Amino acid sequence: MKVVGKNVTKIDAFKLARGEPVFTDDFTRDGMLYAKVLRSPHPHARILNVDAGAALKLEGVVDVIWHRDVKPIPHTRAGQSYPEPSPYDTLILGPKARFIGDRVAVVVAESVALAEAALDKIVVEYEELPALTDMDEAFTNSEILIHEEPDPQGISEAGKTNIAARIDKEVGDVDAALKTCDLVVTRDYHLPRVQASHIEPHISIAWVDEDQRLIVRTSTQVPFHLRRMLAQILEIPEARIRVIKPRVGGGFGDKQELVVEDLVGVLALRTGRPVRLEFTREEELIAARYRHPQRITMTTGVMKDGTIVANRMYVLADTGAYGSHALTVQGNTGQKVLPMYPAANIHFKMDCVYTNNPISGAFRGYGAPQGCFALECHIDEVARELGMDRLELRLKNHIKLGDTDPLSAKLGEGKEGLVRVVNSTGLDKAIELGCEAIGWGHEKEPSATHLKRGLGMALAMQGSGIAGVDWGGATVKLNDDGSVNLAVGATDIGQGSDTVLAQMCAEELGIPYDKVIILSSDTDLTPFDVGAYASSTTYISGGAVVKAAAEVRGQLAGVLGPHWECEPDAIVFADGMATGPAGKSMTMGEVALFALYQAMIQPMATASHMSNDSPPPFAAQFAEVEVDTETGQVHVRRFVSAVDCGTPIHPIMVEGQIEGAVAQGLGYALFEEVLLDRTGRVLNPNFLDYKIASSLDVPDMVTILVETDEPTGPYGAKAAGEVPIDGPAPAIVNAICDAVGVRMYRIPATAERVWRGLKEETR
Amino acid sequence: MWNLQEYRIASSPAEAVALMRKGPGKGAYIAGGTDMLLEHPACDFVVDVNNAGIGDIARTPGGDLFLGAAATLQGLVDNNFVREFAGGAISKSASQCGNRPVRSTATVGGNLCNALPSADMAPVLLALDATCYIADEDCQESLPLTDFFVGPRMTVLEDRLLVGVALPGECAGWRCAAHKLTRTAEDISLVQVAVSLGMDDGKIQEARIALGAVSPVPMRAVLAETMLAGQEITAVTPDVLRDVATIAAGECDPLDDHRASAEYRRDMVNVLTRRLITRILTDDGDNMEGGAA
Repeated sequence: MKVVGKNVTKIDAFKLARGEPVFTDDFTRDGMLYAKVLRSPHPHARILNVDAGAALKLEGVVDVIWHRDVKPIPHTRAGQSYPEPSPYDTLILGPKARFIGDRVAVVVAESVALAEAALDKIVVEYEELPALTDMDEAFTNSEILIHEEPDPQGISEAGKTNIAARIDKEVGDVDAALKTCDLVVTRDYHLPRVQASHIEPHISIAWVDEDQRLIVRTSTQVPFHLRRMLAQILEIPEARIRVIKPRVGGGFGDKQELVVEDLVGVLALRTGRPVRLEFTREEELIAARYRHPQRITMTTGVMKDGTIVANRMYVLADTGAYGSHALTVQGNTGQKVLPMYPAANIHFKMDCVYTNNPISGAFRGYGAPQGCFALECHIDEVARELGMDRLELRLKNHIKLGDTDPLSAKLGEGKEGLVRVVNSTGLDKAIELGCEAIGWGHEKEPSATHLKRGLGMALAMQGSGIAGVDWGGATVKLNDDGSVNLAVGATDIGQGSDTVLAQMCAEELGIPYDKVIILSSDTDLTPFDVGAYASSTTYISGGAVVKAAAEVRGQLAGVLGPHWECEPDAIVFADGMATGPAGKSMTMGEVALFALYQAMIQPMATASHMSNDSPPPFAAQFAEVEVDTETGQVHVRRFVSAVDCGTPIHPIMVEGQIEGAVAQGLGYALFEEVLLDRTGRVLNPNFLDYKIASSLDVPDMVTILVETDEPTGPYGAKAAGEVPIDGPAPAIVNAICDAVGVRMYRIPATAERVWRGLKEETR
Repeated sequence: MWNLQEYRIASSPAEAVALMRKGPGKGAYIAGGTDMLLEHPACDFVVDVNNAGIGDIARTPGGDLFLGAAATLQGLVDNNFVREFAGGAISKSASQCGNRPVRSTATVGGNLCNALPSADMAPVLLALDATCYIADEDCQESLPLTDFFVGPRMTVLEDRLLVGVALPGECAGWRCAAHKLTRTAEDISLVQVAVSLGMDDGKIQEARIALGAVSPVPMRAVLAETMLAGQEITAVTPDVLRDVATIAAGECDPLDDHRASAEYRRDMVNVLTRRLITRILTDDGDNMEGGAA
């Protein structure tokens, strides 16, 4: 292959490096207003009245809106395919505040400073209500209902309990099987609330154009879902809305959500002026979305020889005040994780409850990092109790080529799913190469007497898009000079999808990569795509690009065949040339001129692609840690990721995905946690105290790509974006246990928690 | 919201104090501004002291090391006088503050005047007997750094200006080591300990143990110091070390907060004190810089 598999220059690299004005915020419109949100100081309160009189008297304050100004249309802010499997439990502005930080009113003014000044002048009359911030209490308490509205859609037990979503699915008979096992191990694992912390915050600018259409320029992962959702809640037709996604400075799932677009939309329509709303970092940490905090109970039954006979996972999760992604994230906690060990008996049960805490939602991995932590720590625990080597236990039980994923058919995205069979796997190879790279089985001497070394590992699998749900379109159009316009709905959020899709287009047409001009994610100009989530873009949107490019190639062969008096199939497109039999050849530019001016056709095609498969990428990840036995500090010395993502279309970018995921996973393992007090107030809404890894914290990383050829993927590709974030936390925590014998059932494994664990151990 | 009305630039310490007193409203001195830009303190004007002639680092003829208040932390990292003083402990502490862009802007005076219990530069300077020089409109005053901090975010300054700190020449040959315990590489300290020992004739002649982030102000563990001072080096057995460290831990008064519990902080004072003294007594002096405690 000439372009696929090559480390071409990232298609947007130069403009980004030069600092060109390409992000949402690099853009302004005459007369633009600035919006700021007034947030609730109470975890649970009715908003009886909002007096904005004094705020509106400030010169330059244009408008203040609250729930009386906006029609109440229940919806979900989760950016998912319609009909969304998330409850319609949200209003643009509602009569009740459900967490400290919930929207109460919105100000628009001539400047940010004026808007902030106006917030201080708004007087709100609240009726405070009793609040639930503990998920166990929210699970059992049906006296206090967080969502008591009469007509919600899609809440599991609306009006009766605080349960937003639940799943209970079983393959085989776990209870019966456990009775036959030689050993049954049960443990609880506790997962924290963490925030994606993308560099670019949520930001949107909306205006009404000269055709009375609402234009929304926004930092999003889901432009097409946004257009549909905005049409629904603003009650204007989709035809009057255009969503434009410029360059995006990271999303990680946190932008698979309507977070600010509805407000700029409402305000632009009301004021007739452009309106901009940008979150501060504090707002990101209070009012964006978190990875769901969970408690996971694992029960595993094994035979003496290490055969896993039964596996049960119970998840209790906190979705916070609203149920965005409540069902599907928690569904993934089981679905994406338990198939790693396809026992004959598997039981997955989850309850996801509303609380008066800030909102959980989508975050890279989408439930799998929680489940993978529990399962992979648990496998180590089972091995320890069984007296079996932890690597051997994994090798004996992990999913193999040709195996059927036992849960996929029972757990789709909110409805019955499709059967998934493993058609490609490099897992064994990944384990082998990973073990070699980390020096598995070779104990190393610590560098000082108060330090102890340990090794840990974890296996992970994910999906490539949502089977039978995710799809995308691509249009390829040939120009006079042999260049092509590629228009895709797929959403580049910094991960490099524009580059990868352009590579596939060039490969399919046999033209150089720099002949592809890509345009992505503009609802007026590009075909539909579900957006950048569920690790779908390379696999799903790539499939559409390959189809469209192949169709254009066929059109060109169709006009060249008669001209060259040969079968169209006999013409080869490669190296920027079309070559026929008998020495006939033309450059692609000549072909284009011929097609456009002699044959008089526009070589052009649009194709759509979906897949009933969601082939799992696999990862085997390994950590070497050094634990300070007196301070509890954990230093990850080396981290090895061996990842099977099928064919890496752009190897360096795949490595970038993996290494970025390791950095994020490192934070999850050791120091990231949004801390709440008992009222649900965030205690650390800033980077001084919400710690994420910087380049100084990242360990020495070894990243190995294990190539396989996925038969259903474009050029054999599977996904790479999410699977590498699953393994770091369990691998690191397993390594801590290996080093000092302390099992951290709760992450992050902060120095103080490890120190406490060590003290209890010696007691 | 920051309601800053006026930016004043002073060309001398005396002028700075005069500009501060001129009013109207409330003023604040600004040098690097790294803390101020985060906190947006309620003030109507600021007085910039970057051109007030207080940014120099110098060695006096008597051997004292003078650090001008407006010297940047990166300046402390790079300056040869500082790198040579007490084994380079001050440079090393400065190098652990924030990251390079922050260090290139933030100043040693700002770090001290902001008076956080966790001020990165306080422990090492306390451990090396720093003296503060304070300017008024028509006079200067000096006092030990131990007397400079009054409470969290409070110093003796009021509207006067810190022009710098001086470290006595006698300390130049002391062996000094400090450690900042953090959650990540770029972080506020959970606990900081600095130890310096003046050794001669096989004896510990002088001992300083300074603690950060474990009491309302950066402090010295005076009782623990007393146990060490005058001891023969060979008499400092592991048991003695354990006692000294335990006493030091008993002297501090840490808070429970979301960064760490008081119990953990206190135990870390114990661990770090013991380790730092051990390191000073066992190292040959060459690898004092850069090694983890």
